[in-house]
Amino acid sequence: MSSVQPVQLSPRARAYFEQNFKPQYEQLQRAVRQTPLAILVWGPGASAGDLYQKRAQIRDELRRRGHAAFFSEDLAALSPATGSQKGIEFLQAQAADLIVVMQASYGSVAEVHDFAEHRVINFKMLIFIDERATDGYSYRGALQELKTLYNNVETYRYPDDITQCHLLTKVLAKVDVLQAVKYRVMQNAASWGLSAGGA
Amino acid sequence: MPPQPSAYNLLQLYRQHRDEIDAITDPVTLFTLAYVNHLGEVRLSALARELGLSSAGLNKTLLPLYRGALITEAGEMLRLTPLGKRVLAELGFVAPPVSPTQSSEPSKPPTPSPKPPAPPAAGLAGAGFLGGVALVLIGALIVGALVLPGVLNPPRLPPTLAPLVITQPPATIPYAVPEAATQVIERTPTPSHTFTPTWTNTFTPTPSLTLTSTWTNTFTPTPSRTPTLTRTFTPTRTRTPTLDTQGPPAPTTLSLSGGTLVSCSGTKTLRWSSVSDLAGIARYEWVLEGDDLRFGHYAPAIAGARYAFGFGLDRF
Repeated sequence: MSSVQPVQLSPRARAYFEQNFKPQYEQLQRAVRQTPLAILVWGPGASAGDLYQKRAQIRDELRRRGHAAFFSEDLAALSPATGSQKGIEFLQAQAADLIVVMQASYGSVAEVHDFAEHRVINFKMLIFIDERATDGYSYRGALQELKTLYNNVETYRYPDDITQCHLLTKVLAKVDVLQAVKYRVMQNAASWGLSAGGA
Repeated sequence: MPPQPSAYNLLQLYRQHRDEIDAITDPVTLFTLAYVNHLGEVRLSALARELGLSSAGLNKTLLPLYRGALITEAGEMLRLTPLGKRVLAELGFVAPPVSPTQSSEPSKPPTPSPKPPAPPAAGLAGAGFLGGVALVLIGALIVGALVLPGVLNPPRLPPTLAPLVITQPPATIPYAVPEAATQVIERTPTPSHTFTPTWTNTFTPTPSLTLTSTWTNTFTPTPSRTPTLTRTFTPTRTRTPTLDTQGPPAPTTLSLSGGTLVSCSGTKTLRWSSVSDLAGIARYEWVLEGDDLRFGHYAPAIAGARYAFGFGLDRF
């Protein structure tokens, strides 16, 4: 949520803003910020250098904001002993509220293509892909359709967007909205015709 | 801690309740909703003045509230719908905010006393009984004090030790300081300095200066004028945009079928808007352009004009 900026209010409106609205709004903001999301961050491993650093930065910033943000490899110890790697990642993805994907490694490309057809997962992905790869099969075959359906594919310019915070900003914008949705579900599920505690 | 499973598709819920969420996440829109509720109902023009917004700015602010059916308008009077009131109440904006000094815990009912109070008749009877017992005891004590004074008021015994009174000064014991000893003299500073400030005000007036002013008031009243009042009133119309409260589902690729024939001449350009919202596409807006384009009766046929309209692709 953005900050509250009263502008040119009448004296009566300003009094209501200061005395009634602002305290309650700030309380609401705090409550929304304390609603954690389960977020997976897929992408290249440590050998990828700055791309891995960006991936780690996104995870760490999300954790700093109170979200349960993980790499899939962080959850390896909790995964069932039996079952394929694809099945395990499917279960993880199904459980997450949001999946941030830096499609810059063999593994992350395969993950996106594995789950791009799954309607219970593909909308959850927020995919970042190098703009130089938009003429390839991955983009044309899978990402373009996802972008049309869910607006969840973003291109980045390497290395400028990696060294700056453009990716993180886009992640946080989406997280903020989903956080408000989850807060409303948890607080007032009945208003939306949902059973309480489902989120 | 592993991620907790989500029972709901948050993006789908956002798509379904996007206007409500947008109202919550935008402080200006939420403040507008809360303020209209605070006022009860308000004229659109008055609300624009109160919020310092232009008519266009107010319309933009109100748009998600209209779309979400959180406010309604009748005769240019704006008020909240029951849904708008419910959302505000759920967000805590209806009741006055709790001040930080008050406890956040809900008030607890008073703890019931372990025993209910006795009825008045029983209380009076108990008091009468206790009063009678007290009178009997006091009487017995008075009789005992008269009959047995030595028991209740025993005589004082003389003291066994007489006080020792010193009548002579104590003997002086001579004391010689050993030669090898070092005499240490400690001085305790005594605050004996007394500071009394003395103020001497010396004021030497400068030579007096006398100013002589001469005022000449010259006032020639002008003939009184009666101002001419000219009021210009330009009625403004505020239009409420047509609401589309139901976002269509994600579009699928469609094509013309059933022998539909679309004929055209010249060059036509079909452009469509890019996706703009986080949940994906809720509405497509597209533009069909052409020099000789005629589009029904919605717009006059003007060469070079651009005709734009928008609707969901699923309505093809």
